[in-house]
Amino acid sequence: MTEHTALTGSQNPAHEDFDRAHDRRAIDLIRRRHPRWSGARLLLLLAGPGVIVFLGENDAPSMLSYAATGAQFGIGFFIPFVVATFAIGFIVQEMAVRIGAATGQGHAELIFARFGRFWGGFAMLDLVAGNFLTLVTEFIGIRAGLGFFGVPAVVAVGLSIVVIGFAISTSRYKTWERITMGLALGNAIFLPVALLSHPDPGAIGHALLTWSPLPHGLTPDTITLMIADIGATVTPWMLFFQQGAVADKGLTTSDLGAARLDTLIGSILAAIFGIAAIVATAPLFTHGISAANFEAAQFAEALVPYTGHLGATLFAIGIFEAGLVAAITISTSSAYAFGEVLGHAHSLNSPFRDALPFYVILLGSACAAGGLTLIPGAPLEEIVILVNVVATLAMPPALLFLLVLANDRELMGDFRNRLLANIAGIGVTAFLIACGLGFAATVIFPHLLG
Amino acid sequence: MNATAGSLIRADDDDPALRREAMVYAARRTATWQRRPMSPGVSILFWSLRAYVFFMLGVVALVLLRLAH
Repeated sequence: MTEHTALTGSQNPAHEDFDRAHDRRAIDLIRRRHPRWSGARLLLLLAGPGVIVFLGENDAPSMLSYAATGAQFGIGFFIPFVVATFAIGFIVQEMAVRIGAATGQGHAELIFARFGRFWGGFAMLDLVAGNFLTLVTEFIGIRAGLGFFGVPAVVAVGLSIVVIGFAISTSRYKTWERITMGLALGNAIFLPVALLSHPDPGAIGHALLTWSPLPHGLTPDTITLMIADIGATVTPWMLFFQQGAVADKGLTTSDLGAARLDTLIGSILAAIFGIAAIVATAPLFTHGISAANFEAAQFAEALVPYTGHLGATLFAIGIFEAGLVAAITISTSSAYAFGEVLGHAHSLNSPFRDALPFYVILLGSACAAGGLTLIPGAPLEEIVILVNVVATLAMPPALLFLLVLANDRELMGDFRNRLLANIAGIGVTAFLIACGLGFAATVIFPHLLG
Repeated sequence: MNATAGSLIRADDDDPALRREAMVYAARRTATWQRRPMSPGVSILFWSLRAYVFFMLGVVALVLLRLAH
């Protein structure tokens, strides 16, 4: 670990630094002792933030967006579109990984340091509002998923908060990461649901190659779903979380290859599972069942004739799992950002007594969001509809911060963005702005597309 | 692991090589960066995107209003 040269801070190591040094020692040991097999072993050690961030973003509202997409449009345009959104997600997250590895610091603290409190405040406002709305939808998903099995809402919410508490109870990033990654891989449950719906592989292949069919053409509903599906893949919290997790894990620029591979694997897995959700609900489209305003339990019940009770049960478990993993990651993202900005300890390696505000924010945000879903008459449906759209709309400013940081010569040194990364980053930002303006046009002029 | 004043240490935390590594991590974690001057172009971009967010929030409010009716 010799890359970082701009060291101006205190060099008095804390507990979290010793944890990272221990992990670094294990990595170096593998590199020295097992040069032949070090690639696979290293990947097992270094994987985590990328897989967790992408499978965490395959959260309850995202999986419901994909389910709604399959039910409204079947197998067609949206299959390759989802692949494209995950490619966009990879481009964006790779920059966050690189910044985290090059600086060893989180996204929020770098924004505050380099852009000042005014712009940092805006970035935090976007993050906090988006995170809280999203967290609420995760608990709605958790309630709905377990509600399918008759579990009362208060038990479902309480159980999830206990799981979040259990994951952080060891005060060790590595343990938290393994627990969360194990839960996140449960997202694969949508694969058997898709298989139970007896999909036509030829139709999936045709859709991937031709980006068609797109039933009903380009309508306001199509654009809203496109925005929601983009919001299901790229959101501000992912930047804050993954950069924070890379720093917390102690990754450096010497680990960039494995960290990029981790991110790539995460994006591919998430794309496959997202497509599986579309494929699983495609029979609803084929049989003309209107599912535009379905909630999780209604999707599961509607799937019974096509996937059997097993498929419907797995779908409900999948929504619960998606909500739970995202509740863990999003509350962690909020805690990282607050800790970075307020200057208190903000590491999952820190003992409770050293980082009490960090853990209070992590658990407190989850409790507040979960508690909101238990209030009778709370506008939950509106929040679910809007959360992915709001995430997409808040993304362009977040991308501008990311691009400026990734081009910062002083911060990044030799690891700053090259031409290709800048073209991709600017292209993604322009695409998201265009999608947002397209959405606005269809809202302001409802008859624009006929 | 055992507990000492304010934090937990392990048996090998006194290992000089490990301590050096931990010090590098501490230095990375606590490094402070000065505020960078923002060029007029970047400043305009930031303000434009902030205006975009406020405009889009209005659009979302319009959607909510229509849903309510």
